[in-house]
Amino acid sequence: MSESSNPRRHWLFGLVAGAALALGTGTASGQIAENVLPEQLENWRIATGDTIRYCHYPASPTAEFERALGEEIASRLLLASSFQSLPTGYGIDGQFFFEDLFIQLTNDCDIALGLAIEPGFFPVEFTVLQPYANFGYVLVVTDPSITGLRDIPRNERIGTEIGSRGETRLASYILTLPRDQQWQRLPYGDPELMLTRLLDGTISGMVLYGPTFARLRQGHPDEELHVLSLDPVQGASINVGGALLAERVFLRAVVDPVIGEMIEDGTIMQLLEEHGLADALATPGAR
Amino acid sequence: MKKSILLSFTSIVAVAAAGPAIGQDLERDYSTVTDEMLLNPDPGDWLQWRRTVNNWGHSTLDQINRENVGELELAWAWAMAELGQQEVAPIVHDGIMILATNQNQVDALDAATGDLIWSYNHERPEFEGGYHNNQANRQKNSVAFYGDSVILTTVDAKLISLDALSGQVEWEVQVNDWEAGYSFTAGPLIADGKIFTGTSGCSIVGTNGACWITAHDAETGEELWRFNTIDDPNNPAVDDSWNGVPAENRWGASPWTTGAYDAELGIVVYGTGMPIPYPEITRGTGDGDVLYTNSTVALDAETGELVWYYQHLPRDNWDLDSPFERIFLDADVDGEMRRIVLTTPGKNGITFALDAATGEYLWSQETIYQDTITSISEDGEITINEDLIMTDFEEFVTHCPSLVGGRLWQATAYNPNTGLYYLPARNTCGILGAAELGEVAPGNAVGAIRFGGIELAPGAQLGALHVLDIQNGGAAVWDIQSDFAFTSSTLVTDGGLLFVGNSNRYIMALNDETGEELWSTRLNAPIGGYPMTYEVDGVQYVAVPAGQSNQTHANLSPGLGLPRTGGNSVFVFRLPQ
Repeated sequence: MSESSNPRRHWLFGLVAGAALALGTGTASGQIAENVLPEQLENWRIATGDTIRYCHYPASPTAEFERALGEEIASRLLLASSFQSLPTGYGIDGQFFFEDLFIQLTNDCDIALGLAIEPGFFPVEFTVLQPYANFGYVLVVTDPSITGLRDIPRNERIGTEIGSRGETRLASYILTLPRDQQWQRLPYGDPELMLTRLLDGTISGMVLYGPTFARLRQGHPDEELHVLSLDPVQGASINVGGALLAERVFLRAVVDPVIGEMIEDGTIMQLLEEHGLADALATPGAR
Repeated sequence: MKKSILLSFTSIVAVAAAGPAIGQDLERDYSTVTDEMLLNPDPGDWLQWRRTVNNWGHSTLDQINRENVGELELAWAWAMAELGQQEVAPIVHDGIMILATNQNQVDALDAATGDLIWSYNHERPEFEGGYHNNQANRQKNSVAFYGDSVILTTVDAKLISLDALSGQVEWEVQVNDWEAGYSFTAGPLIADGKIFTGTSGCSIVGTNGACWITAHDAETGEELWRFNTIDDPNNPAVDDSWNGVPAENRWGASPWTTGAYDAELGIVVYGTGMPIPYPEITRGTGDGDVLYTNSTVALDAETGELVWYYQHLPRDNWDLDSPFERIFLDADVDGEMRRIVLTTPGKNGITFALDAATGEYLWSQETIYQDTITSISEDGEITINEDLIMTDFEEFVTHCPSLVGGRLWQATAYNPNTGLYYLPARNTCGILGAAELGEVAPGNAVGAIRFGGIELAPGAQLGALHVLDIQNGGAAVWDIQSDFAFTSSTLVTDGGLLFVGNSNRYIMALNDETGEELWSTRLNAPIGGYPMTYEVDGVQYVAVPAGQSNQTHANLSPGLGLPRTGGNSVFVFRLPQ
């Protein structure tokens, strides 16, 4: 971990952050809050002025990186940290997701990590931290003669992770092409199945989240897989960060500068490297 | 055949030790529920979801009628402790009321006094997934009577038989793999010695390639057949409609409402839901109709083979789900009496009549404000509004109704004496965008559609109750528009009454022919679930569920105040004794 050049500044931030954690919260009014059963919300807050409580996805391909990141943020604020699991297993349409996130951030967590951070994406009940990293989507093929997207014959199919940024960016690009130049895209919910189809030739390439591929490759070290950029598809990357309840602006105000500092002083990059994510088209901060 | 059951002290100990049911000693007459009874129940009974297998939601009881309904008084009430949405459908046989509520808890009560007879607590896996945890909090009409048992569908995709007098588990069958995402939220249809089920959860990534309607032996639960609503190798039109997307890359068409059965034709009919993802530019199917999403499917009850299908909303881009109840009835169609399937299948509130034997389109009638279907031809060909199809991931569209309806699970009712059909619905529009930023939790298979909010339809009030004359081509008879949403299902009786409730906590009895309000009372929470009626020892009762509902839309109802707790309860009314 980097040493601060201004210990006094961090002592003050620690005090402020602790106060921010201890502040009570109300609930913002919106469609999400209306869908939540009142009995699911705890109408009290336990004084945790010395701990940042994080929620995250333990099974996420970036989980360990985010745990380390969260601990470092807390440490710089002279606070402890704790981690709880966020549920997965939602439908592709995301039904119940934001309602459950609202409940978790009301009852159990101060900050939820590992979420896509883009303007206007979250309902009014939430606010977001500045992104701490940007991860790209990769094109993976088995044919070494394919050096880029355009090398894939147009009558062949490309697999994509359903609902992913990579999928929508590729799909947007395909829509710009003449009809007879468009690849067919097949959506997959299971990266392992998509890899199976790549290997059996059902699809000629697959587009998936960089960290997901990094993990997939660990499980298939002997397969001949070639990782390519998605050029000329633009914007096939996603900013990732944390979310809080909208009224926790004070907490956001003390955490955001710490994230900014960690980007500037190279800590984020170091954590990405330590957790094997530097090759997953990962860059600190937002793109 | 009646039998008297006396539970001895020994058996009570055995009951208490055997599992999650809590029973008590009683002597009670109980008649075995037969296939014949299911087709023609005793007027005092309500044996399954809509009382009869044709899904009418109609009672022949008339002790409570237009003349005296104003005298209704509370007989008893019962709190259903589990939090969650209030979507309960009480059922009654031989004076026993069964309430299946959230977390698949089941209570058996004396229907005259409200005394607890037994309780069953379902033992289920610990869900890590948010979908199952939430669906456990919105179990619907999960039980039905058969034989000496109560048949229960569960959130972890099981079919369970409970002894009707003790609540003890007799058998259970794991119908689908809940870990893949499958679930039950709707209850069983029981007819002809079979239990039929419709699956929920077909939006979860692990359910790719299949969503199911199943049939089981009603005595043992043994599976007899299953039908896949998104892949049918026997029908080439299905594959064609997905434009080259293989079955393993398809999701949706969830049949999440209880079906209907016709004994003469020997068929069951189910409705199916929307494709997943909603926008076609995301799911990669182009302009394909994507069968059998948003369809009525008629299946041979013996074999599960497809008899016919009709698609009510092809090429859905807006989550306008069409699984809602199908009703068998005889109707005058151009001077000829025909057996039809009547349904308002989907959220857009269009009512359809189809020939029950062939699926031939007969007529349709619009009710609430909608703009997703521009026309329906004389032979039933649907033309969707292509202007509302998102063609770019940056694009948002406003469509009516919104994805909360229109209509939702709150059931319609049909009165065979008057030919009138009652539809509770809402007038809304919604803003939807294709998932440019769909991966809300990257790498975790948690998708999200961008919602821009829900608003009132132009010039409309939120709540809408539509009444159609089914013997006259679905002609509109009258409707009620209200600032408050109708949050309960409808119940129509031979007392000339229509019961329906709203988000403002009022249960109302209306003149079923004119809509005049004859009685109302205010309960503890929005009226929910399925109001029903039954008779015990010559006394007619009306049971009304109340509790939290996601269909209150308080932000669209100025002045609506909701209680801080869900308040899941059932209230039972009768005339003064």
